Amino acid sequence: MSSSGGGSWKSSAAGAGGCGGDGGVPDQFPAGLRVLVVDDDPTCLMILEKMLRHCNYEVTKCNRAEVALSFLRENKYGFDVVISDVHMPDMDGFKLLEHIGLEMDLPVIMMSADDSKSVVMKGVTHGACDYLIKPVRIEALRNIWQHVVRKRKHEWKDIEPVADEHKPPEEPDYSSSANEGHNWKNTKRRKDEEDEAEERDDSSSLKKPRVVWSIELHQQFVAAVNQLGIDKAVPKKILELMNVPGLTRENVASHLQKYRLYLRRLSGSPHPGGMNMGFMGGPDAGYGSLNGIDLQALAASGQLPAQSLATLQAVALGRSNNTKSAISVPVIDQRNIFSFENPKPGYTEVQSQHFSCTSNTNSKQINLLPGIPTNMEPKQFVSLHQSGQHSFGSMNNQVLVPLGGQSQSQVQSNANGHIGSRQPVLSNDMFTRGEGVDMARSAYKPVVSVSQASSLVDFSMNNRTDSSSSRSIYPPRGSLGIPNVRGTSLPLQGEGNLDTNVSGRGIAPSYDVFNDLNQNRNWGLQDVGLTFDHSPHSIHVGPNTSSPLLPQHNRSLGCEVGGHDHNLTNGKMIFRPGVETRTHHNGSNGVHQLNTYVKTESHNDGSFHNTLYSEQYGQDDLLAAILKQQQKQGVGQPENEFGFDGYALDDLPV
Amino acid sequence: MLRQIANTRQSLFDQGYLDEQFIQLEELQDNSNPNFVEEVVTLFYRDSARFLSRLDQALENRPLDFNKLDGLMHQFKGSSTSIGAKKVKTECTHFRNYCNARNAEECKRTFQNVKKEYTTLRKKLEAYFQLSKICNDENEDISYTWVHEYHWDQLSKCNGGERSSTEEPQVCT
Repeated sequence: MSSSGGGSWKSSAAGAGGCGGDGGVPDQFPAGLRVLVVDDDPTCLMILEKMLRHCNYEVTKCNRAEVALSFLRENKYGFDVVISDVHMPDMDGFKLLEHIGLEMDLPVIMMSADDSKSVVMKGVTHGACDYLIKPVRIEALRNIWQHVVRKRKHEWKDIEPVADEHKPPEEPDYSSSANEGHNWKNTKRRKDEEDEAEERDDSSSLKKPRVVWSIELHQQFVAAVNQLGIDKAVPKKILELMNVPGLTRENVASHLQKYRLYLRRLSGSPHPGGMNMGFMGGPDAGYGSLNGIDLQALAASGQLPAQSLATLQAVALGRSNNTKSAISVPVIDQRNIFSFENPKPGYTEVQSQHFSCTSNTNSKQINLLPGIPTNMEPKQFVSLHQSGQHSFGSMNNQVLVPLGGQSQSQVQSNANGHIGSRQPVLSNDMFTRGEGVDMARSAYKPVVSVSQASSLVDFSMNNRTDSSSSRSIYPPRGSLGIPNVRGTSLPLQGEGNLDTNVSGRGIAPSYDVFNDLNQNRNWGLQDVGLTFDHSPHSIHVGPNTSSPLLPQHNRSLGCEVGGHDHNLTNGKMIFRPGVETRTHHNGSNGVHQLNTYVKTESHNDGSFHNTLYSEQYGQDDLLAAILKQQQKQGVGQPENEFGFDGYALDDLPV
Repeated sequence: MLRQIANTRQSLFDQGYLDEQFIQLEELQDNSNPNFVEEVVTLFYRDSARFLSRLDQALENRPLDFNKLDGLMHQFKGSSTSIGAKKVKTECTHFRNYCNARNAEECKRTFQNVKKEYTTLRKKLEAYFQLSKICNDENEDISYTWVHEYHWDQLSKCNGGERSSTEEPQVCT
């Protein structure tokens, strides 16, 4: 057993990425164990580091939880175990624990001078592997490797049920079979650290002992769960729905457990919103997941159709991965987001791909947007969307519950003419909320300041709102003929919404903007479905086209938003001439860009408009309505800048 | 000299200023990091000073925010515990108890004790480290090989076998 556990450590100890002597170095284990220590007390940190070094472990210390999370996110497989203090000023240790558990699934050991039963119990319920009382003695640290091995062993079981499940009691057998696979896997893992998620996708269980729940994968999971209904979701069915090669029922089961816990926490104990501003901003993936999660929650609540949720999530997740800005989540209830932790960002690829394949038509639509390269887009899109969604969803839920219902139906029908009208109203609400949320999410910069985008977003949001009330806001989309948008737009929306929400603007005819944005935006989203940006078709106004459009918008919005840095200018916003682009996006760029978009986006506009008009008609009207609204709202948006990258945080109720 | 150092150190334990945690720190000290303990203690005093000032400020408020006081003290106590500051830790515990009991007067009084112990310990540790430094410096200058052999038995008898083998009695005094 030690050898199986030792593989990774050996590698790390050896420093090389390769399998370095998996077979021959079992004795070294647990030497070289890579530990991350998080404690705001520098004295403790120094002592712990020294102690761990004395145990021959590799130590990385940090005094802030957010920094720790970003370390972990950047080096997904760079650490074997995390030791964290409970009381920290910037983030509660238990929150960090949850995040790590959800995103990276590493063993986490809690520490505190507080040894009261309640606190220890809290550690247990939040999933801590162990709880050390300060002052920590070196003897206590010497044995932390057991948690790593234990976790790996369990994962092994998940991955190779045949070999391991039946043999746990038989140590020798187990370890031998585990060894082989484990070493092999470790080797593989070491090599393809970055491609882990992809590998997992392609390879079978042989690849890695540990199932990494990337954002995409998680999105798929969430989509499946939503489709089944949270109560009826059983691992077997979820597994079938997800249809991911190499994933076992056990993997799904354990993840489902975590997810349920997360949902329970979401509903049970709202977390202080501010918590993750800091680190949320950092990991994009986080947002994606959050969005997805929120979506999930929304979906669970019955608001979101599974598909849209999935889409959203995918977008969100994908987005988050791709574009930092995508964090549409900000809009969402911060708490939700945070509490849930982003599903492993790694998923993006898996998920998005999967998403497009498996998700409903919506996702397909996204992919199939004429002229739009489908592969990536959907993913990106989804993530964006999702991210937006999440935020949106959460927001919506809170704000627009009633609308949501409506929008949902509308969206579904794809003929949501009325939605459009609603949109303006809703969007405002949403925006407000979004703003608030966004604000909270400092990280969320991306909110596409482009007001236009927001409108787009709104639309997409509408679609999205299916899952969440927020969607209803975008009904116009529906009417716009963006039925697909729902699915697709959602992704965008997610992003776009974020923006819009943030900007608080009305629903700007984001379509154009999005298109442009998408196009210009070079960030991942563009791929997603932004293609429609460049081509007139993108804007296809028609019902199906609309969806592409929306997504695009979303994307662009998302891009803007998420890209934080992306200026709206990236994507040419094809705003309709009338549409006022309130580029809210992250920065000043967005603002200006948006305006530019409208004007500059010649091609898009033209195409967009054309397509829009020709097909959408409804959309146009809607857009117009929205634009007007926006204008009323002071399209000038720059004022809306939320603090985040371009967002005017002032408005945010933070 | 070594004897002196040893005695000083022992008295710190005997009088309850330090506890086992300090020994843990000492065990972490090695050739690669010969001043580890001193570094940690220095870091502690530097970092914990802000807690004391915050506590001072908080105690000036009217009315007292006991939760805040408790939180601050919890952190301060954690730090003190990690270096083995026994008396300081005890006073911190008293303080927290009075906080929980919402006893403002006792809190303030206890806090004075905390500060007193904190300062006393610092002085003692500073003296101790100084002593160790002198001894080490002196040791380096000494070529004591034959002296060492000569005096080793006597030294070990006197100091209980504490590294006296490396020291020349006359030099250290």
